[in-house]
Amino acid sequence: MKKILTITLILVLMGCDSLKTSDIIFNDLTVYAPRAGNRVTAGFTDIINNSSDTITINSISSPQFNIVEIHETIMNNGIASMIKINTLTIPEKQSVSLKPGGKHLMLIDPVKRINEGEEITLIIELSSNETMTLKTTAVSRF
Amino acid sequence: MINSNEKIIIKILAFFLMITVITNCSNERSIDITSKKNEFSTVLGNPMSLSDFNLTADDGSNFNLETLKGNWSLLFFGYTHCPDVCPLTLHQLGQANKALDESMTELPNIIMVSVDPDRDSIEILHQYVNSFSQKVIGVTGFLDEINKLTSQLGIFYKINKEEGENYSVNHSAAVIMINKNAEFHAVFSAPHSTEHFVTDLPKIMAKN
Repeated sequence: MKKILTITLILVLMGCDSLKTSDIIFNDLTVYAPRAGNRVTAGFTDIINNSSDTITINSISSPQFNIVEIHETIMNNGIASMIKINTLTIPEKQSVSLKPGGKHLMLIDPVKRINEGEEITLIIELSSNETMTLKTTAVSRF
Repeated sequence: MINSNEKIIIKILAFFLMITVITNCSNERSIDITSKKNEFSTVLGNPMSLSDFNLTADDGSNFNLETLKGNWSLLFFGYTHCPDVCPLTLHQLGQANKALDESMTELPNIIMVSVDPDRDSIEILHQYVNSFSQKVIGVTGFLDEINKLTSQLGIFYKINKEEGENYSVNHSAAVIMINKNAEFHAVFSAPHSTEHFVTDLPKIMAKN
């Protein structure tokens, strides 16, 4: 069951002349604390592009994880597989959902043990050389 | 994404599973191989006997065909680095058992077989399954022993080592139901939901 999380979202646009904070919105950002014995976890959010331009996410990083990638789970003939998405494009006035069973954030190799309630920072690099910083807290899954 | 080679492998596995079922039927007893569709699962016309295998459970004990005897079991094949399908399925199975706890006199064991033994040591697997419930059993072992089990159940997996250290594993998402005689009894095909298991498990277990 998807958890609806009240998130603390701090949006910082650095070196940004054209993009406004309202142009791109990350709704219901959820990052799960890695399970015991696990070096990976998932994150989900709805990304809404309110601008009149296509927005492309080139990369995501986090001080709490050595690697953050966007992956997509694909179910084909009953076989689950996962592919890495190098860049994520959100067309103008459209949204892209990162959700269970589909596209998701893949957070790999935490720099230290992350418990429920700890702050997670995500740094979003856009193709326009703009950077967004999102903050939320890790929640336990299930 | 499944490539053409993988599709061929899946077809071959499906073919051999069919042949195995038919061979068992013709050699051992007169069996109606027509499977029966429940709402969310498929029950084999007659349960399929399995050959032995030698794996290790997350408590360090041996896990083989004998271990499966005496209880119903739900087998799911995955890996602990799987961020999405595996934890969701284990959660759904656990929720189903929880929902059925009061109405059923016995519940199936939930068993996750890791097909990624290089990363999933017994210790890691133990921590992982216990994070869901102490009732979930983690199992893994040498690949050739894992293959003895997967090949009989039509389970496909492919370890994508070419992706580097953080490789993914393609794997069947089906949940296999084994009966008290350690026979392949039924299969729940993905995508799953808790409701699927809650609806069909009592029907399957009540008839046997």
